[in-house]
Amino acid sequence: MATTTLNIKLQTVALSKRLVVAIGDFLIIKLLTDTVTTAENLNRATTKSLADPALTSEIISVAPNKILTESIALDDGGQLYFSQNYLVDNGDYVSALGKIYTLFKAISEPITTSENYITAMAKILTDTPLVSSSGLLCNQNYFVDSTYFSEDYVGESRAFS
Amino acid sequence: MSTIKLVRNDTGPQLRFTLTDSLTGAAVDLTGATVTLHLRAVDTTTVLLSRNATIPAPATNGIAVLAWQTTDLDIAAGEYEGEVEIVLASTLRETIFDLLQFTVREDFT
Repeated sequence: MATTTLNIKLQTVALSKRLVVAIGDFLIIKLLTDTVTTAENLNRATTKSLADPALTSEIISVAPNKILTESIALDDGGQLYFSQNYLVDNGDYVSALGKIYTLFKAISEPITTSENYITAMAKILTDTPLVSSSGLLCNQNYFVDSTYFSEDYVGESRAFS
Repeated sequence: MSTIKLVRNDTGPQLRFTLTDSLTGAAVDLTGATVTLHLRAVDTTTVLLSRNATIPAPATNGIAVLAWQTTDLDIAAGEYEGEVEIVLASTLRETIFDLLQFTVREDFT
């Protein structure tokens, strides 16, 4: 008799990675040279520097403005009294010392005034008239004597200027 | 896996990783993935270097190339081991179990 054991056979395979290593030069390392040529353009940029200096002047003017303040206090302080007080007592007037009432009322009324200075500018006009006259004043005359013809003209003449 | 021999302060040779599925043999799609080599000295635990590999297009070829940077191999001569870690776009992290073996010697100048 032949006996066979029907065992279950287990086969296990590890799904691992297999590595094969080769030695050599596989990657080409390129040394890249990039020559860059640049041209320089010389341009003379002329620009005008604009400057505008602003001059300022300070005008100091005196503005006179006088504030006038006047305080007025009125006081009519005084005493109002009666020299005698008459009291009615049993029908008779009895003289007694009069009561003195002091009246004092302080009245204060501040008054503020301001003074405005106004400069009135007027042009002083002067007109000097200058009148002149010149000429010859003649006064005719009648013939009276032989000197009649001794003058420039019959009569008298005055030169004036 | 044979030992990779390097000279100190070199920046080559580059390492090309070809990742395939161990079952189907198909290339692993590395689109959006990162492949990193961690390097440490043998019998130590301190990672001296973690360098990402470049995934050339098309990423579906499952190829990643590691190019050493200037100071990556500025390490003392000796024996080193490397671990390749893959993080796929799906954030699946899978590390190759087998370690890479490196031997670094001093350079003359």
